[in-house]
Amino acid sequence: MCRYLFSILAICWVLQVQAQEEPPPPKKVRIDTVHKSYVPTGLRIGTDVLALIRSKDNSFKGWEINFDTDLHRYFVSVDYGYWATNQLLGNGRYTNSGHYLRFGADVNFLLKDPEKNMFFLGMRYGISSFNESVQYSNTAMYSGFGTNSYSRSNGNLSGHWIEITTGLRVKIVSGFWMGCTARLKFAPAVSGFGQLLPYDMPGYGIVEEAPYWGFNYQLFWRLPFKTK
Amino acid sequence: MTRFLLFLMTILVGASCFNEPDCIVTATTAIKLDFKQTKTNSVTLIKSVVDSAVIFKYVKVSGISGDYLKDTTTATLSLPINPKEKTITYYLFRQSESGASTRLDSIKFSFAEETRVIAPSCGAYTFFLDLKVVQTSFNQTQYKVTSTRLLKNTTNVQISL
Repeated sequence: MCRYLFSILAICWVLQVQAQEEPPPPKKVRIDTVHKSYVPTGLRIGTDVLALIRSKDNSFKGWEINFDTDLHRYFVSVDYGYWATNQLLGNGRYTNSGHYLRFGADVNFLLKDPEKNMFFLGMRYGISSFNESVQYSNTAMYSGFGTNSYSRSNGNLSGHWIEITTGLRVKIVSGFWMGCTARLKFAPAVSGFGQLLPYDMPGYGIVEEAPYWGFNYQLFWRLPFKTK
Repeated sequence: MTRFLLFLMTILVGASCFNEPDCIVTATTAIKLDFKQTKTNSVTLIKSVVDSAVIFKYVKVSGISGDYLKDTTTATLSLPINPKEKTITYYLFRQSESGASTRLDSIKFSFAEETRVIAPSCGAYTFFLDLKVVQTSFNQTQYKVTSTRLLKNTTNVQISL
């Protein structure tokens, strides 16, 4: 065993001496093969298909238009939409309607994809302007006080929230994209309400639920700013 | 990074479970009064606040003709409010400890209201809040408003006798 150990140590010593005698390899020069251009190359215009499908139901009417433009691996994104609900409650009816605007940025993690597909992570800030009303009836604990009917409304509400977004954009044919966006919405705030606590904020959802989940299935058309 | 994104996607999907609100209605149209008394341990001389069962000969509520309660012994009263009014007065005819006489106490409350939609399946409910004692025959040291919101299983006022 000792002679093998001696042989191994001898080989190591020889290799170490050789390594010390070899000249150091020339430093590799990094060649920038990807030109980072922060000039937008096009504008993508899209719409949320799920909102249009949901609008077939009488309890929801809405649409959403999406815009985004590229700045290298970053995308500036703006969404504008309309949202109106007419919900039958267990003891009445709730209605609301209003517009919302979301703006923010996404980071694309598939920068080197030749088809320019996107897997992104981003953030949005949303603002909403809406009104709502509810008609309902409650029965008092003491039956002698009877059943009371209420009609409450909030005329001019404004609210805001923050979203973390992630999703995919897949190029189907030249200039046409399909995608989905998942939204984790949080920190909702509404101002301008009276005796009716805000319930459903267009663009956000149930105000008392935070975080709140949202999902869009989108179709995009890309308008290039320049041709290669 | 990929693992982080997969984790984030899982969190996002999991968060959808919380989108459906629970149908738990805590609103009530009753004010809950708890009656207490201070007892001193004869050995240790330590004072403690305990429930006090009170014999009520009658309990009257403004807006209700006749007696709301009669000949009731309890340490807790849940008395109704009239949702159409902004105030309510309770008249408590209670028997003295000796049983020889009947004492009348009254307490008048004011309250505000707000509407909350719980969920489509549950409906909308009026919640009463901002409970205040407007007028009472009890001393200021005798009562304490412990909750200004009228909620099920929540004591609103503690009265020491």
